[in-house]
Amino acid sequence: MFRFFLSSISTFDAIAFVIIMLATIAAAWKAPDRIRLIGKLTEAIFLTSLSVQVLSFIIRLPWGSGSRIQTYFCDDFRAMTALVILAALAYIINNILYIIRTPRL
Amino acid sequence: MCGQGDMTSEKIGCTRSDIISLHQTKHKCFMEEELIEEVIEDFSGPGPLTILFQMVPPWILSVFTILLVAILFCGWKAPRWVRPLGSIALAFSFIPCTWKILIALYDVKMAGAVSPNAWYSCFNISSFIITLGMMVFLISRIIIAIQSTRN
Repeated sequence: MFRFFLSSISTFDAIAFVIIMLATIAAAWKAPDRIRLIGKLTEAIFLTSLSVQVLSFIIRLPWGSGSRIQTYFCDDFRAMTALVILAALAYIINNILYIIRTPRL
Repeated sequence: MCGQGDMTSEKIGCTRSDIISLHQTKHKCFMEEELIEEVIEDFSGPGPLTILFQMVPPWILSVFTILLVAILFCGWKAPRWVRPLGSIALAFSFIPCTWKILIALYDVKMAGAVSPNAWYSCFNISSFIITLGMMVFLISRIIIAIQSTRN
């Protein structure tokens, strides 16, 4: 199942979120005031990638029929769910690092 | 001898047997209503609270409860941590439900199709988990708003 999840992630999302994770860790180490900014960047990349995937599905929709639509739907939906999980993990890590590196008052 | 029932039946202008048959009909109708209600309960599926406490895994409910308690505690002692905790709750709510959808898609790939009931239960539980996350997120935002009006 985990292998299936890894195979569902598109290349662009994988590269983008690896860079974001590294940037978050670097910011938490050297510049804690930038962690929130990187969180906003994560949101932006997630929304952009999701909208591109939805758009690509909609564009291909009129040319498919029957089982082909089901194949498109499954492939695109797989990539979308993998993207959501990846973005949620990145966002959770970002917020945890923010809590750790920010004074409570 | 005339009983109290006979006197009543005389007063309302009908015989005792009429009243008995009316009572029996009413009882029968009541029994039928009960039966219909039972049948409707059987076919309408589980209610929202049943879904919440029986179908959503307990560890997910535990995580949301811990986050809610942490938010309430931070609202008192550490106001700057309320916002990230609410965001964590919202982001966390998307992980289990999308994972369930991914499992369903895996089944589609392996078996070729998934029954509509499986899709229904998958989306039903997913929507409940997301609703829980959004409620915790909303509570965190309400606490932030209350604190900002105080200061």
